[in-house]
Amino acid sequence: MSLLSDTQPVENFHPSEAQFRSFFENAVEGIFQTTPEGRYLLANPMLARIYGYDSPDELIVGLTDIQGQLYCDSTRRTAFRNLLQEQDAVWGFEAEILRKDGRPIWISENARAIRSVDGILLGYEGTVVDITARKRAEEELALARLRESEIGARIQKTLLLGQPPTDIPRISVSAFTVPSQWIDGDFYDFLRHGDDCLDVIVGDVMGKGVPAALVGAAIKSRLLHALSHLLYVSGGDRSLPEPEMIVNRVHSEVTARFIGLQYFATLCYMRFDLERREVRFVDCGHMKTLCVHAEDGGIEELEGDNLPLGCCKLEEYRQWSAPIRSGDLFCFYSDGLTEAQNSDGEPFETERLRRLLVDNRHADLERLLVTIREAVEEFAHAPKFKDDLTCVLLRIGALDEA
Amino acid sequence: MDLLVEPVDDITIVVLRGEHLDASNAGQFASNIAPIIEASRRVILDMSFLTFVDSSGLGAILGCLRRLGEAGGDLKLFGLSKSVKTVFQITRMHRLFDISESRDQAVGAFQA
Repeated sequence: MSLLSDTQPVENFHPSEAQFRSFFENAVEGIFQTTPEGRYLLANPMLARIYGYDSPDELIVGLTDIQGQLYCDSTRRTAFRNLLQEQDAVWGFEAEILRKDGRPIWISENARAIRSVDGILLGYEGTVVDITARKRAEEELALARLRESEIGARIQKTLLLGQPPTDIPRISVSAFTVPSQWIDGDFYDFLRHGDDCLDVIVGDVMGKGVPAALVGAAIKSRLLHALSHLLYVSGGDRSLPEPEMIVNRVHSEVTARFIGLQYFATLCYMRFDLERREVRFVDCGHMKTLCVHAEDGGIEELEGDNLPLGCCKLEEYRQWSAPIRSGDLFCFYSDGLTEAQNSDGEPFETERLRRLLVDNRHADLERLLVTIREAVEEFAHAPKFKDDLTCVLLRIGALDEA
Repeated sequence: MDLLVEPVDDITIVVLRGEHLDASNAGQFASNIAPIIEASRRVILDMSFLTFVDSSGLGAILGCLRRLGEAGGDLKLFGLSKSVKTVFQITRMHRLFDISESRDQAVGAFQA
């Protein structure tokens, strides 16, 4: 049927009642009019079909209490009415409903409130579409994402994060990292060079989640590449390349690419050299490393002055050094730890961490790590944090008297 | 993050009307400020409403500096709270940015 005859100009088109009826009867959306209390005054065949009734009449007679009979969660009806109390119309109001046969489906409604000239609510009218297929697809997608995240987190934990070494005679290490999402943008790694030398790498990639974790994994792989390359070019003497050589090599390889990707990462690369009784480190914009002396509880902040990796192509990374003594306790951490906020928005701050370290400087390393973690969790009132959070503790054992 | 744009001669002052610039809104900030940076070479960010900036926020501000630098322009910042300034200092990003104490000082730095 043509709505307009060929001879009828558009501006003179006045739809007849028959045309309205045809539109109402054949609409591909469910159309309704209800009382404020929840009885149907009007329903079209598509609405009856969506709700599982044989005809609009059967629906009007059988479905007399929308709040109690239709909505799976009856508070959705209240929400619907409240919205139409505040505003004249709602669009895309989604709810799970029960069909006549008891099967739940998802619908989306566009509706408006019908009011008298005095503003008294007379009822509601609008349209309904069945969005069950879309909702199921969304749920499946969310589930698939969750599974992928769980697997990603397991892979990261078992394969990508460095495992603290447990068998170095005079160095003990303990570490934890808590991702704010499933996957962690913080990372650490430990490269052992015999019994007297250990490299500790702690980094924090800008952002969170999978992209940050991939960047972290790339940096770690680049550090190993650089180490292997520099060992190779050192030729016969096979002397270990210094941290600044390794970091500068990685910087020259990745910074231009990081700038293209708009990523950067803070990093501390610290070498513990027991033979020379010193640490040598490069600090790429990372949080200051804390060193607590066992004897007097004195605390030193070890920091350099370089930018994070991936900020500036012209940066030259410099190495710093500091002496180490028997019993020294080192603490590396990410800003997720000191920036963890309590309910008043106050940060945990370095000062709290410093106190914990000084007070517990003789405690078992694992125990101290748990103490720090519990203190931050208690402070932030949550096992979940806004940012990835990392803490690496390292203690120097008894060094021979010089 | 709402941005309020105030032109002063050939300088564009952008007021960041939000308390946080972090992973939750850094992407939105970057897309909102992109057309402003396209249209102006001298940009000042008024950060006095901000109380918290994380690494994603720093990344977004760094992106502004880079794009302006590539176009032969420059970026200046002012109104950094103590905690926001600390974030710049810890990461040493303060070395990359021209940070002024006041709006007048930032405008003056462009006119000098």
